[in-house]
Amino acid sequence: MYQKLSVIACSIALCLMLAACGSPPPPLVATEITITAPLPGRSMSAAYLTLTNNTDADIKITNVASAQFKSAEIHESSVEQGVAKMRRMEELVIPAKSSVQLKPGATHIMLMRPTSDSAQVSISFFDDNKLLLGVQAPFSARTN
Amino acid sequence: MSPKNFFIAILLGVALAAGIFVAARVSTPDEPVSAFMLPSPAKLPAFSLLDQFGSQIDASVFCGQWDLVFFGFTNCPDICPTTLQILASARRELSESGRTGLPRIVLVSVDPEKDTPEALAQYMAYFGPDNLGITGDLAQIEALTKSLGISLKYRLTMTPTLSTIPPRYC
Repeated sequence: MYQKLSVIACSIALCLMLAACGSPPPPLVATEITITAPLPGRSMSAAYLTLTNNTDADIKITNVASAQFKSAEIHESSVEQGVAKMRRMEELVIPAKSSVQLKPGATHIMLMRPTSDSAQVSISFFDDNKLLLGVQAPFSARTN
Repeated sequence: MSPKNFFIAILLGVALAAGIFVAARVSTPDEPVSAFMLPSPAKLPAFSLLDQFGSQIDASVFCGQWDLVFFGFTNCPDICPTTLQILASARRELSESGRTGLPRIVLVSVDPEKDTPEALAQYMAYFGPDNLGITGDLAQIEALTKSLGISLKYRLTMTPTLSTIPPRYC
């Protein structure tokens, strides 16, 4: 009897494993999330992360929002002819089957005017009104 | 072609490809130019500005120590705090390794309207003790930036360069 039960249990386990292997990955994934806390007396901070598009079509992000900040925008820092500039981006495109890294000195999420003392920050990414992805992470301490 | 010669040709081809691959990996990449020394020291203009304690300062504030001067503003979320954090971390590592005569970190605000001495005091303290924040009259700040070759177009656009001022500048 135990032999039969073992066979049944192994069969069930094998079926579950095959089912898991067959599950498609989420369309948009965020990794390496770093959210800097506003410095003392300041009301701005930045979020950096890597966005990976697992689909066969480009994903367009048109706006972002955070429950812990009055406003959030996608910005791009750049140095052109020796002058540093920062501009708001109307949209961020993640090409099909690719990743885009938001990092210091380049594209980043600008978070403005905190609304709470929460140590956790949630950021939502939208294509117009369609929610694409929600992430949550604690503030990262700047180490000096 | 005999099988033996064909095999030797394949072997030589693979060896050539492998050699090119290894050479490409071990070749020294071009180093980016990230610092240059002026042929002669820039002359700073006379100025009257404020430090983060509200005290009036002039060019003599740069006497007696090495200063790493960065032009930015406290509401800058990305380049400015990242730069200051890198400087502070480097300074801390040098200090922990026993080095003395470390440079001072100086932030000259290009947004003096919002960067009051009080705001600068709080901000600069975050990056360690003994740092210097400078604010005040925008025209005087612009004269200072020009003398150091910094392009300034009010707040959001400026040259993200570190200027090094030696201790014997007086």
